[in-house]
Amino acid sequence: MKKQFLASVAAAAALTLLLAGCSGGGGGGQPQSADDGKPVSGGVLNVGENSDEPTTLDPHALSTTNTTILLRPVFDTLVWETPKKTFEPDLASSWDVSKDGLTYTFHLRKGVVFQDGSTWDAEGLKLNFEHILDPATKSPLAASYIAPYKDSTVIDDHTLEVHLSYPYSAFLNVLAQSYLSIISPKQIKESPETIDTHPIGSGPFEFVTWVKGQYIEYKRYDKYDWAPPGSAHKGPAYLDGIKINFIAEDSVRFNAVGAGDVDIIENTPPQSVAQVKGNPDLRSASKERPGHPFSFWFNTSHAPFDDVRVRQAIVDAVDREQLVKTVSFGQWKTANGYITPVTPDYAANTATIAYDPKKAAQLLDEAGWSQKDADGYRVKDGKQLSATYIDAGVNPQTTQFAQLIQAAVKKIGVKVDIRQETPTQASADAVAGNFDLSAGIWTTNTADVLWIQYSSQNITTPQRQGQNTSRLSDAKLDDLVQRARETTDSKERASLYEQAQARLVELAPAIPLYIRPDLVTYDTKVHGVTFDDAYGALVFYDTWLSR
Amino acid sequence: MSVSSPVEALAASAPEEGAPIGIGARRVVRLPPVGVLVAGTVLVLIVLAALVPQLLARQDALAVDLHHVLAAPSGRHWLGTDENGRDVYTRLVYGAHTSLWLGFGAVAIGLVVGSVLGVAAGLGARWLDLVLMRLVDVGLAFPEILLALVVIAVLGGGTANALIAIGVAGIPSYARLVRAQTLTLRRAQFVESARALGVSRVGVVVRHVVPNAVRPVVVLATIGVGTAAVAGAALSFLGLGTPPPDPEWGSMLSTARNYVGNAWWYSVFPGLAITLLVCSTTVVGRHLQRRLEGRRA
Repeated sequence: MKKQFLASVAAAAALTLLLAGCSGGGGGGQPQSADDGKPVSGGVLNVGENSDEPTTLDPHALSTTNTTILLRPVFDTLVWETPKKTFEPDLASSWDVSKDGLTYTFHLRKGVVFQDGSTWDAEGLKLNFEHILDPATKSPLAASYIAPYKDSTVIDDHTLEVHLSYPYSAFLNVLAQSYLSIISPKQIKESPETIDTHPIGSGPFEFVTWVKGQYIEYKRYDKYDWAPPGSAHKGPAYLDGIKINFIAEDSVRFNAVGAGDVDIIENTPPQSVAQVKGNPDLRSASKERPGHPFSFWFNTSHAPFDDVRVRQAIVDAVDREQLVKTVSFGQWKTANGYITPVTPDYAANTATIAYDPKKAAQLLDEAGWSQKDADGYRVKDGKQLSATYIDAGVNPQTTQFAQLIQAAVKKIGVKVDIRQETPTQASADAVAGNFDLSAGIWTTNTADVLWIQYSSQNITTPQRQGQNTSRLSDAKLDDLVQRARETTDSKERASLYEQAQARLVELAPAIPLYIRPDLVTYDTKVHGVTFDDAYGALVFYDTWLSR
Repeated sequence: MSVSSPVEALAASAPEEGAPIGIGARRVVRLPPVGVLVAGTVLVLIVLAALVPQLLARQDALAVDLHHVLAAPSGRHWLGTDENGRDVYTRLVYGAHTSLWLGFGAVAIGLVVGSVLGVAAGLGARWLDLVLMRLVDVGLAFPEILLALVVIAVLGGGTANALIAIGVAGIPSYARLVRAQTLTLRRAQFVESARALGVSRVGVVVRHVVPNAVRPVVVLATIGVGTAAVAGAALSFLGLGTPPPDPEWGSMLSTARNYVGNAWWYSVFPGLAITLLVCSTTVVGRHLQRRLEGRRA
């Protein structure tokens, strides 16, 4: 009898401990040293990555943010984005763009040899474009990024003329992203079915093995001699290899780097960054990502958010600065517009979005929501001013934001219900438009993200799934983002995007919250931690381990 | 997640019937042992919190205070604050309602449906017993939490569905137990006497068999309350139970685990609350069971 009782106690206590997890806090308080010394070769880098393990390693068939870290070791891209948001040669040594923006002539780098021994030529580039657009690839992202691609002509071994069906100003930008990595032409031609599980490229590391649910291993590619511009060295990489381990739980991953089980982790929980600063054995680095900031999108296709005044009221009622500071423990920057500052054509001087609950209440009064019910929520024509947010529970911070927004708008008499669903249900509801608020982010290195997210062409229909989550339809904005993506004049493009950003502040299709950085924590023995500018993804080419 | 099921509890308790708790316990029989008193007090407090939370906590369980996020326990916030600056103590008090509701509600479902099935199997036709018990066997083959997850997968999340899920998952064990009791009672002398005295079949079932079959199970069910509350907490922990921002112990623990390094109080107190609920229902349930068996003997 007693035994049984003790068992219950033990079970309950064990549950408590298990559920709460065990965490070791970092001690110490030494300032971080930047003295890296002279790079040495050797060693295998152990990386802790979150649970975004893909089902394939074909770059053209991928779309989730954290998969870029898996692609950069194996693959090169055609062009390389610099920190100044300009584009420089990578596997293409130069290019010419015709005046009408319809023809891109790529002159390819000579001497590049893929990991399977095949050589890099114009035919290979053509095969890559065709692989992206091949329906069999089922490309969720790359194909739509190069949708204007029509065909191409091989001029000579190292020159390819690419024809677009309409001018597309973001073409070079997207070619710098890992999702448009260059795969071995031999593999595409002879054994495309092997790309999923054993990708071959021309990057600094070769794929070795993938134990699903656990890790992916890479080893150095010794013939590598075509490092992208801006790299700290030339020739092969320093590391003997890389092992990327999938560790889903945030706190477990963070403790793994603290305990020395892995050398570097991505997606450091923001609440743990203070512990890194206090731990002499750890360092942190962060890189802001280009594209659309993390936001809560309004569904503008139905009430109550079809009324721009209601949307503006919600945006004004939320103290975004304070929310972001709270949720991120001061680690993230508040977004002040609809693209992040590290995105090309970001305009700093667009109208700012200010916290103004008084104005918010006034806007709601103007919109006819001036009466309140017994619970303090606004009503109009017998209907309560309420909205449903679907929470897929993927990210604790997103759920927290939802609760804080809920509390903030309650003060101005707006009710938000948080409905928890499984990710599958949530995405079905998103496609069907069964939501009032939806949270998300879109990382890409071009202001064309405004076309992707807000052009009325991209509203999901029964025939076609689009990415205009807010289902915004505004003729003026449509015109601005359409002209911006078609112009070949960079000054005109910048001006159009500036106007589009200002227009979006007026339209308030979302509550822009924060610029998501890649928060990286690493052991002091790791040096040369770098990111690419096209996506903010970790690149291990210059990384080395001290002994 | 393994918490004793009522069925095992009954089996384990049988040989120890009437064992004294401490020296002299038998002589001052009237007053329950200290442990039981403490557990009872805790249980009363939890029930009080569930019924009239405003009596125990004056603050608003949903009030966000971004200037006091993850604040340590203090005079103002006895058990500290959570990641949104909400008072952990207040949220625990208000969360008791959900936990107890889940616990009692789920047990009620399991008990009522399980008893009906158990009595039907025990007294009904042979084929009915056969069919019902094979179904029960299938149910018992799965851990209760897994069964609950299956039900959630069909019904979707939320507090009400979690309650149904846990209740349904508990049905097989109660059915099995009630059937066993019924089979014994069927041939008991007083039942046969009643029949001999000319009491109708239905009368015997209603007046003699059902009360005697179900009574011991009801007492054991108090222990099941704790088990069910833990299962509810587990479902909420997985994001399948009570949706935010409503307080619930399991979901509090689930969120708190992200801040173990920043705020120990946030995970310790909800964990402690769950532990206390399970312990006190177990202790009180056992005591009641002992008393009842004593009387029967």
